[in-house]
Amino acid sequence: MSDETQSTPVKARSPFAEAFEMFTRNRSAMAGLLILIGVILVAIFGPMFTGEDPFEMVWAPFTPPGEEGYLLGTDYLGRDLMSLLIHGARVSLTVGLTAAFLTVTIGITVGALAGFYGGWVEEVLMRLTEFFQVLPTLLFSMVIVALFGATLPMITLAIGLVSWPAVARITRAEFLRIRELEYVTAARAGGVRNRDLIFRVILPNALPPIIVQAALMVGSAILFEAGLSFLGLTDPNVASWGQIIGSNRQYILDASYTVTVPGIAIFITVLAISLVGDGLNDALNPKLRER
Amino acid sequence: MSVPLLSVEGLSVELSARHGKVTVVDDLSFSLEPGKTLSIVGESGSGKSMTALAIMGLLPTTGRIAHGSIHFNGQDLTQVDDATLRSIRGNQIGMIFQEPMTSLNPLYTVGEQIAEVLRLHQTLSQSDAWARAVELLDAVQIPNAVEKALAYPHEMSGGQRQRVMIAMALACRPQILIADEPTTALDVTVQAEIFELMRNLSDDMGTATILITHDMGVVAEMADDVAVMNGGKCLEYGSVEAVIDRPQHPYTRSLIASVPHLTTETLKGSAQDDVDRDALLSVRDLQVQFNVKKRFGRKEVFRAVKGVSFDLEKGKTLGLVGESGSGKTTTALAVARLVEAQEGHAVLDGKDMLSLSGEELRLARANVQVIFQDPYSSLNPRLRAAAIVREPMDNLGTMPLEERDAHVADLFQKVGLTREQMNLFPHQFSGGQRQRISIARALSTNPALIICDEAVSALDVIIQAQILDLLRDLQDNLGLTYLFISHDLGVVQQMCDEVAVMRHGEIVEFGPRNQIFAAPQQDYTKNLLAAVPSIERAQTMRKAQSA
Amino acid sequence: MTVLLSIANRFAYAVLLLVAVLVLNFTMMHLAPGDIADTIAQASGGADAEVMAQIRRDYGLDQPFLVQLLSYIAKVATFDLGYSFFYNQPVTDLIFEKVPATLLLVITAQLLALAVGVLLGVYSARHPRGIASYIVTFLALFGYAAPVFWTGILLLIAFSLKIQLFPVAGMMDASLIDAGFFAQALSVAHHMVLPVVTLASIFLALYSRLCRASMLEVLGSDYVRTAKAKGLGEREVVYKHALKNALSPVVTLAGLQFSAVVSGAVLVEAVFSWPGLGTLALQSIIARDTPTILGILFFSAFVVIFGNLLTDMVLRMMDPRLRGKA
Repeated sequence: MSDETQSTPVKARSPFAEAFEMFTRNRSAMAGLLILIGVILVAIFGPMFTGEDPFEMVWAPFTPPGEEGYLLGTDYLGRDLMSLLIHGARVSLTVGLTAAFLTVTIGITVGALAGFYGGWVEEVLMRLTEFFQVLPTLLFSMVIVALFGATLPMITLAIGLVSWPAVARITRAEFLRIRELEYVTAARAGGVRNRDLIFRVILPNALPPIIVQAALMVGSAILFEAGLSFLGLTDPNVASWGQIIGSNRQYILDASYTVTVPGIAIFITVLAISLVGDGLNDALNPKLRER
Repeated sequence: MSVPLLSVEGLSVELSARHGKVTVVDDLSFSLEPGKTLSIVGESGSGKSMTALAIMGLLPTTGRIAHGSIHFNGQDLTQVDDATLRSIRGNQIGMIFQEPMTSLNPLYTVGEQIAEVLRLHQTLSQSDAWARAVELLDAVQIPNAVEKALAYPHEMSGGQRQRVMIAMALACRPQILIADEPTTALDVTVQAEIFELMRNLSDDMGTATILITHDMGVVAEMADDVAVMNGGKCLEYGSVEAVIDRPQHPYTRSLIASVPHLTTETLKGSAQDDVDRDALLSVRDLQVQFNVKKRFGRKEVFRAVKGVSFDLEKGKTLGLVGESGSGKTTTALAVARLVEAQEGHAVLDGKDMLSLSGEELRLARANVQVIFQDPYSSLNPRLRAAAIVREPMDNLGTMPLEERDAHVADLFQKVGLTREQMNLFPHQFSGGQRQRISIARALSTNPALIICDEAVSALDVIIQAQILDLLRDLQDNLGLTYLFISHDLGVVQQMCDEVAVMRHGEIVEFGPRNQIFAAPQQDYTKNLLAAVPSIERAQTMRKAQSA
Repeated sequence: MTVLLSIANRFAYAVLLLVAVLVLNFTMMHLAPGDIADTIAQASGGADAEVMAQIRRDYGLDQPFLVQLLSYIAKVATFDLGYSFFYNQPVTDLIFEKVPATLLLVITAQLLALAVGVLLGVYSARHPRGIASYIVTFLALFGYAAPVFWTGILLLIAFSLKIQLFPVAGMMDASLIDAGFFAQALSVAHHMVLPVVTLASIFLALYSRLCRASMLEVLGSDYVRTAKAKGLGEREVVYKHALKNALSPVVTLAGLQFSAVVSGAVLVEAVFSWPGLGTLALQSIIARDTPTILGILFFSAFVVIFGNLLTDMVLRMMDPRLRGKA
């Protein structure tokens, strides 16, 4: 039991290396990651095979899947569903990733400043967060998009603007917790400047739950965009998954595949992201590892 | 010898972990006689708590009894069905736990929680059970029992909650009370009160007690019989006289030897005869207050430190002792400017720490470093050990760049760690090793003053002794000055030249070590000293009784 | 007394928050290109400059921005949300006409999600390796990843078109307009099933997952061990001691969903042509009916803010530790 005789491993293993190894051993998370990579590859290279214009009318409307060489059939205007889906993947992923990036940037900044400085800074920032949290998210972004123009950047901005409070709250909570830990006090005693305390001492340790939340934000943003475009609040010149469902909705009696298939695309993409998020959560959660 | 009330034979408990099964209790046997107290003593991970849970049939879902029997009142508890076990639990065997803060349900009043057990086992009516619960609260000396029965756990102090737990465990006059580290989370004076209460009540009711503890002093004062456990095995078992006075097993001996003995004898090396009377640190009228949560715009202020003054000479150790909430840590951290003081002076090496600000303050931090309590949270988990030790040097530039690596390696050697360990991350070290890294970090800037904030409190007693030795060696070799904060009077007596006893944010008594421990002037100090469980005192009392 | 004071305090803060929302919404409308006159002119196929100016005078658009804002706030304070040119009705009337349908949908869905979610959560926490645990995991993944409007359409295809169990759209059979209450209620209930199940699917996923996690944590807590040490049976331990504690986070989460509920209602109402607030919102946004949009935004913020207030009070009732805190 003596301190000295206890064997110590000689090989250094950083907490992130351990998390990475745990993640790679998680089968469902790895499956999610593979699907996600697949979707990304399709979004990048797909249009090479299906043509650059998804709105081109290629055959008679409602050609069932598989017929006339159109793997997924055609929609109510005779457009190739496959081509629409592939272009839609670009939109979903771009909007999802950019909006999540925006969300996380705003959220971390607000949450970190509030959690670190406390006092009136925290008061002001958390009131602001609360304010944005009471805005009805979808309605509010619908209004923004309707009033200021249905373009992808505006949609992304609208999603980011209503989604950041969740990240800010998590970041703040982590900062409040870590701020009180002894190694932060030790760093202060060691002369670490405030800026370094925030970004080099506390933030890296606060990241695990934020990373998980960021992963889920990508999924939420994709769903959000799909909802907006389903309601018709999207750029009419860009093909997106929600829009395909929205515009074919009236014809579900004749051709339900025009609605089910794009939905499956959304479902699988978001599911993959959520599996990756769960995997990250398990891998980064220190409770599951020995101390 | 009378018939044992409880007899445990060859008990083994297994836990299933990620990498297969772990035996946490290994072939354990003991017996408990009516009205007696058996103490199971051991360090963390020795299997003592698992033993208690096994008797209660409350092992975690991952655990199971692999072998052995537990005979109680002619029944083998490892064989009986759930319903029988439930009729015994809380009725014939009561149990209290270590954490009074979390062991009571926060959503029910304490009265209801006591009444519940009475309704269950004694089929009392609602009102009878409540009346009895109030009686019990009164019996455990909770003032205004009638009113307090309606209180929720969060409205009570730690000591009161543990009294409630005792009332609950003893409500049905059980034959056995199992107490699992019942006072570890409490202050030493409260501990003394709780033990006295337990002793009186179990004497009245004829209840036998199994007392689980890590503290040899507690064993010496409370137990009739002792089982010493380590690594799941029972290493030594016998009467308290046999085990404490004539320990056979080397582990028991080292356990007893590692306890920082509190003694009234005069110890060598006091502060009196020194030449250098210039204070390295001179604190005057220090005041610290915290804003407690604002309510309706009105600020409530908690005065943590109320005008504290003291001097500390170079190369000496000053102990700040006191119970939780006495302001000892706040005082020290205010000197280091890690907590903001509202008033006063703290002149360190000719500079008033409290008047500094900005870059001047940041650089002055090189002169005072802290060793913290919790080995698990005091090291940044994302940095390698060497980087942790190096961080203050890099930030404060106390040493030329090219010398820093060599200095870090030198510090690792000084605190007894190897060169290979420099590249490891904190989670790859044991608790004691982490405290060594903390010490190396504190030494890295060659500070004039080192604050040890409960630096050994979280460690098991044997490792604690090793770390204390290291701190003493470093002081002798490097001429360090310590401000040593501890709630453990035995540790303070071992380590300190002078002692300041604090209470409610004030210094109650200040003086050289030998004066404080051998001839305390203040009642509070005397009570504090009397409350510490002591092996010697227990031995003396036993000898007096048998004579 | 302090409790009353703290409630009053929070109430005042809620009102302040509402005013802030009002200011933001109004400013946003003001900043958007085009105004009511443009919209009306467009709707009526063009108008000359004089008519446009007349409309602007009628709506007070010729006043300075601050005056417009203040007079709007003053009007809202008297529960006057303006007049909708699109529907030719006061906005307040319009909203209150649509609110019951949405409330019926939303409250039923929430109650369903909470009840099933808590039951599943508790059951699966007690049997961590049982079938219920897999159901919770599956629900959690599906509820998160499936877009709610798609879930709705799938249900429509399955249970209205393929198997004709439920009606495709609307809230009640048009033929029952003069029928008795009971017949009408029955028809509404019949129409409600699919929209409610769709809306509940999102929240069921959240609640069952959280309830399971929270229950697992509570079952491992010290006070549950104490309850077992008293000799209490499994039933009392789970339902009296554990569940009551495990519910707090679930209620907190449910309280945070008011905004998501509004969003979900918009989409679900669009799928099932449910004549509620969501449908009204969509129509007025497409028509750029500014007074109605502002009114609905305000009303939604009101629901969210007072929903949060309500949640807070429920939590205080459930947990004595929260009482007496500001």
